[in-house]
Amino acid sequence: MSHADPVLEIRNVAKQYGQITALTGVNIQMFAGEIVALLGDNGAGKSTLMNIMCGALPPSSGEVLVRGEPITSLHHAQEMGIGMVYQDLALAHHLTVAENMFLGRELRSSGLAGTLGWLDSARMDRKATEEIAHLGISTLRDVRMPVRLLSGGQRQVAAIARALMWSKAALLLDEPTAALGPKQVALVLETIKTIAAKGMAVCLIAHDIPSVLAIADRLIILRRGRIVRTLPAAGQTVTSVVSMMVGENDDAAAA
Amino acid sequence: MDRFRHPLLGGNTLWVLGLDVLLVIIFQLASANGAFLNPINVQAILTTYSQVMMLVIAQTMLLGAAQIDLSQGATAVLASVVAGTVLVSMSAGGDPGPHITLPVLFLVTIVVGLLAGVINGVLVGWLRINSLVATLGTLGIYLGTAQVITNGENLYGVPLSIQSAFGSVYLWRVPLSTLLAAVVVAVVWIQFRRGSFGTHTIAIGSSEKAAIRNGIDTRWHMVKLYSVAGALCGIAGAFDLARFTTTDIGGHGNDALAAISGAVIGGTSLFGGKVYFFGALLGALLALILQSGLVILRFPPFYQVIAIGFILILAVAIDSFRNRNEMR
Repeated sequence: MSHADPVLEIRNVAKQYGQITALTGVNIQMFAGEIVALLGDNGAGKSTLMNIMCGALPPSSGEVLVRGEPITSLHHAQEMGIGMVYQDLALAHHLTVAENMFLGRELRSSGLAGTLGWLDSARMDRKATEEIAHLGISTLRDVRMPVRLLSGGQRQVAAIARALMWSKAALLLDEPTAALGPKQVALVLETIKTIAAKGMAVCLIAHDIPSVLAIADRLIILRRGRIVRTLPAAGQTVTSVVSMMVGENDDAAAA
Repeated sequence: MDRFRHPLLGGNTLWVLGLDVLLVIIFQLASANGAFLNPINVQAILTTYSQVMMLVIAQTMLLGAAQIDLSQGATAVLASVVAGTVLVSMSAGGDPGPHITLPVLFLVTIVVGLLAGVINGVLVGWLRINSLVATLGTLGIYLGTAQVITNGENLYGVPLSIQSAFGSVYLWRVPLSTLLAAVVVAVVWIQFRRGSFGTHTIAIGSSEKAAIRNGIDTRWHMVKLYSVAGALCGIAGAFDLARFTTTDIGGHGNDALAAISGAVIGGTSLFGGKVYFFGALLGALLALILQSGLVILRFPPFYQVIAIGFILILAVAIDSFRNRNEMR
């Protein structure tokens, strides 16, 4: 497989909910090391598209391919290396960072303790610490902290670290900077950049356009379930992006 | 395990322990001739406590997953009634002896408790019925079934060997049932702390959606959780039958609420995610100390209920005060 082959490819995807068409004719190719941002007004189909990309929602037609192989389910997509960070983060607040990172995939002890179903917390703590250190994150020093005691930014980073631990091809993020303070936003953006720099394909949804412009390589603009523009982020401004999202330029062209 | 969920001292464990000790001292000093710590009184408290221990750790685990079981007392009664009926029918030609009656007692009570738990788990996990409502329903069903079996009367003629060989046996002056209960608590606690069972329970209690998204089969987990809880209620039923050699159909109406109170006083949250076994055990002990102490001091027994009410509200107030501070 050559370097230029896409990591994640969406081929002619459409999604209908009964009479309502949420997506139609969507084609996207995502490459290693690239940060792609999905932009669009509410109801444009961003979340539907992301749920299809991670395998949580089957498309009505078309397919999603990971390194050329079509995905069949959320579980299959995870196995193929697609990680998803939900807007609500899906963290258990009363468990520690390490316990969350291994939730549902705990490591058992060896020997008799393992036979009894006991877990190897020390090994999970160590691996979680390594994973976070590998991301270059210094804000999460103690993986034995319960998530409920973390800040919003730290929680976001913990959720990202968990997704990365189990997926090595592409990372999908739904509103990673929503409801965060400026300092926390910077922390999360820095983490996302580090991930892409390590060769992962990253796709994110965000309403916070300045943040998107700060890190994205490519913008994909959706309107009423269709891709209306795909363009490099470089050189774009908040005003130009917003006008493409709401479709002002088209109206001007038509007039 | 992290320092925030210290296995022994977390939640309200320390201050409830302090309150337990303080009450023991007060009752001992106030009672005539130190009657409170008289071995016979202590043994009576411990014998009752062996049943309470089973129910309170079961309830604590369920609360960890933000679930509740109101059918605990009814499950224990049904288990003891079924086991009692089997034992009565077996001893038509005389008591077959403890080597037969004791295994039958525990096997039948545990199986009945387990089945009652499976039903609760299916109702809550599969049919998605709110646990408060589901177990309020099964409370009536299990208790009613027990009454149908015995025609509403308590069972008599249960072989006495279950009492002479277990229910009234003391080892180093401690009731055998209390020692057995302590072993069961230790096993359940270690499995909960060290296995994925506890982690998944707390994950479900923190956020069921998060648990599902991380691949945990929450329906199956609910069935497992309620089955273990039901089996523990079954063991409580065995202790009850072995103590009195008769069933106590009307005497378990407050069991579930007492177990919930004990767990909450010990710092376990009603909203899931926070589990403190030792706090719960000490919280449940508080009620027994109060009950016994007030009787010895010749107070009408109703004062115990009032006192527990106050302590329960105090514990919940402290819990929500802590939660508010953590949220900041």
